[in-house]
Amino acid sequence: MSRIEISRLGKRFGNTDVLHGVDLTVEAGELVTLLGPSGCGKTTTLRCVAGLERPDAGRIAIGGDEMASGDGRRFVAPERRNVGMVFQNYALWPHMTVFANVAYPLRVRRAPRREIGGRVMEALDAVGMAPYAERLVTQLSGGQAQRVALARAIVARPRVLLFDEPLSNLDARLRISMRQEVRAAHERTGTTSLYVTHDQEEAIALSDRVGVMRDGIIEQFGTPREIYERPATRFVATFVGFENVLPGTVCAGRPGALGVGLEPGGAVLWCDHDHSVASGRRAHLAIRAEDVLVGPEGSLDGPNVLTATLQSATYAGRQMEYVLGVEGLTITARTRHDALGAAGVEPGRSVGVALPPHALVPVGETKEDARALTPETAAPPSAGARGEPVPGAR
Amino acid sequence: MAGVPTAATGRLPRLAGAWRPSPSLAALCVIAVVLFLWPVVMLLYGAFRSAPPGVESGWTTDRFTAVFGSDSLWGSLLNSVLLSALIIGLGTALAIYFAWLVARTTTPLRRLVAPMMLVVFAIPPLFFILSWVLLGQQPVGSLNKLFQVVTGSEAAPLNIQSWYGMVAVGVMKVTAVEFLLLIGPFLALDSSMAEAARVSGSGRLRTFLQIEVPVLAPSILGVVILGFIVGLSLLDLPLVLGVPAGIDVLPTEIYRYIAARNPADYAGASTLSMLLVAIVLVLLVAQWRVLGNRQFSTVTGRGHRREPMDLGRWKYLGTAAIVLYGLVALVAPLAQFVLGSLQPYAGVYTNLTFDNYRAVFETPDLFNAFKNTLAIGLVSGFVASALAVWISLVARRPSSSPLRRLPDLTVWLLAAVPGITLGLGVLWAYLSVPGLKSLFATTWIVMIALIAGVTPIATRAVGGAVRQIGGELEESARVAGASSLRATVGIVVRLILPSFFAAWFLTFVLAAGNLDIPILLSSTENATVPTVAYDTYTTGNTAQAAATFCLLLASIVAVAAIGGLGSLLARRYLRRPRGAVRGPRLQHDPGLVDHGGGR
Repeated sequence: MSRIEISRLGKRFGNTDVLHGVDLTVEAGELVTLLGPSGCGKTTTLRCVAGLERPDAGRIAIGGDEMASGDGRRFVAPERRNVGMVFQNYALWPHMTVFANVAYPLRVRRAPRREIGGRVMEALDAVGMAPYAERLVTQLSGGQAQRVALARAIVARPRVLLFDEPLSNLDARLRISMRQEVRAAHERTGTTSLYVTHDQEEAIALSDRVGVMRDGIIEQFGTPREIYERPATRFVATFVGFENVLPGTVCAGRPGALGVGLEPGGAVLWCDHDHSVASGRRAHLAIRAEDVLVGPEGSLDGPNVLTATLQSATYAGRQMEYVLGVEGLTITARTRHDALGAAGVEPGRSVGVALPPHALVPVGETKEDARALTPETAAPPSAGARGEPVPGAR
Repeated sequence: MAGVPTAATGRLPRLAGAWRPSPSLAALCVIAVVLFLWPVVMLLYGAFRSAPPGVESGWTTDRFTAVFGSDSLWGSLLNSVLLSALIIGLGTALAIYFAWLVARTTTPLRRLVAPMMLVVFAIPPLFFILSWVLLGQQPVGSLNKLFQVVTGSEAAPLNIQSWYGMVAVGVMKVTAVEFLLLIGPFLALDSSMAEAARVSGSGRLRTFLQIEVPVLAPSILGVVILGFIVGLSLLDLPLVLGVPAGIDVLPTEIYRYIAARNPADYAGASTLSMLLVAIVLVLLVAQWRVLGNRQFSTVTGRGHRREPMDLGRWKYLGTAAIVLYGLVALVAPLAQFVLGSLQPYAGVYTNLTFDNYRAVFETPDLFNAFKNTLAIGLVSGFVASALAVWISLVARRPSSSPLRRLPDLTVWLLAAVPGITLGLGVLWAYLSVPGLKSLFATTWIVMIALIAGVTPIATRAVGGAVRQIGGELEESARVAGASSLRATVGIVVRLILPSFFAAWFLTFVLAAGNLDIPILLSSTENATVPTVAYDTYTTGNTAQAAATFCLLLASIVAVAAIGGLGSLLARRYLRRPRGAVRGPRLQHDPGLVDHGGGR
């Protein structure tokens, strides 16, 4: 049970800065995910924690012990950090059996010989791979290989578990069942875990808290629910699946709500918001396609009702997907098949569209914008507490 | 999926004749049999003939029983095995160390290693060996002289014509070959294997010994067996360094059956050759079995930017090893040969002169040998590389004809035939056929034998590239409307062109520097530089041999420079996408032979 503290972490490869001052604290026993597109620096951050990369700036501490300082004064070799790591491509050693792979961390730690057998089988049992102990790892399927890699990572009871996109080489169905394995391994060992992925569903389903990374910094850090429902920036909103982000400027306010004038049209939409924000500040409004209401012209009432031109309607299984032109902007809506009634869905038709205030999230263009929109940051949850399950995320 | 029914219906009517080879396969089979298989078969035939090739004779088993009954055989066999084992053991260890330095550490000067190894590899072996004779001869070798000048003593501590001399010179050369074969797998080794071990708590050295070396074990083992085969086949090294010290190995013994007996004992030489081929075949089968069962796939597409290790103070040990190797394997022999080519007489260091070069151009024999060597090297290299491309292309295309494996198999068999025995086989093959007899002692027969000699190497060099080109590329060209021929030429051949040129250069270097084959097949009219150099060495005129060799080396450098310039221009003006298909690679295929891994 050790917390991971990362402060002002910087790393450059050649002439490119990959990390621009990453700040992150993973509380003891917590599972934190770094989420972001490829090239955002999430894997580099993880590898700095593992000791596989030497940071150029900042500081990393595990359990209060300094592991690396950016000035190069201190750098603890990976084998002395007492961490376990699961690699994307499994990284099992092909010349050893399953048993020998899992036993390796114990052997190098000079665990007593009679203990090794029991502990290896315990770890293999935990991931359901005990019957395969004597197999060669080259005979395993991808899912089995990753289970063995997981067993190898936890067998020596490391202070910290690191996961580098461990599920991205697996097929979709396996990926979902393996999430549970990872979460179970984390909970059973009670270690502190840092997990890297580009899959937002995975991050939200798995983590206590999520840090969304972009261009070498953490753009937003919060519980899965916060990230999923209240993204702070346009980037985060898009990344967690908000189909619509409408540019605008704050133009009015009242307790619990914010009025935002859309650009270029100038229509004012109200969104629920707990903080007062000065007029004139830029703010985008993000809304998910399934929260947009669509109906025949004039049939909708309430706030934020606009008239739109139907650009296309696409059958999307349980729902219809409508692309609408509103005030010079394009909005995607996903709704029931009968939302437009019997009037038909031919393009060019005028329809009504409502953007409910509770579903509109004001987001900033940058991290600084976001701070102006939401002055105080949310307090971290207590250690080990997990965000409530988020509907639709699994 | 959509293509399946079409293909099936297209083939159905021809199903009855499916065993019949395509014209391309049939032609290739004929070439393979005549060029590759025939000499090997004739070697067997020759062992039981009572007279030399081309002379009327009957069957006999006399020589066969006599050779196996001779005392010298077992001594030579033991020497062969011992020499190979020593060379390969030391050479592999050095090669692994250098490959690891280059691939995984920040050792200063590591970037010099690959070019250095390429140059050592490209220097014709005889050049290298003769140069070391001049350096380490007893008592007048330059290093001995240097020792005497520096210490003032009369002693000559170095004797290169000895067991340790043979091993040392062999190791220098073999290290380069093994390095070039191993650097690919070392660079391709998935770094996460080592990283997983580090994170598991294993230190640097332990990770190297317990993870990296074992993961590479199949590659290393393949290279070791290959090196052992090369060691058993060596003729020039023991001929120059061992025979004067009374050390015989199988290839020198084969040579002596023909060169040192009057009349020459061709049947005896053939018998011994068969023994050598049999031993090599067993090793090849062993290699194939070992690799067939334990092919670890260690290369993954996505690799992290690896952080090379800083070894701290130890890295200077690596630097020292690199410098030392560069000195003994490259600088000293080259300097000695350049210096030697300028000496008026061997061992005289004053009055340096260009007379020897002038002599090369003025002596018709020498100049002819020089021209011959270039022509033979370029032509046989080109033919061998073209054949290799053809063979690889045929091998990858599915065919139900029982003949489809034949070209591949003959090449594989050919790899088990050391140079001197191949020369002997070619003698039997062409002199026993009345019409072909006129080829004897012409440049053509040397060329034909060299083509057969270097084709296995060329096949290894282009095979990887051909296999890398997925069938989809060709299929998409077919779907886009190209004919089979057009798809092959326009897409596949175009993509393997860089590998073809690399293979051509490689085989050119090997053919031009080869002594084992022309030593039996060429006459004074069509001698090559290595044979002339060997003759002049035996008669004591090393200075002119050195000058001829320096010219040959300069030509190799010139060919390389022209090739390099050509590929640079092609890349610039033809806008060839880089890295789509690279030159010959052996990462997964520590098979038979090497190539210039670093290109």
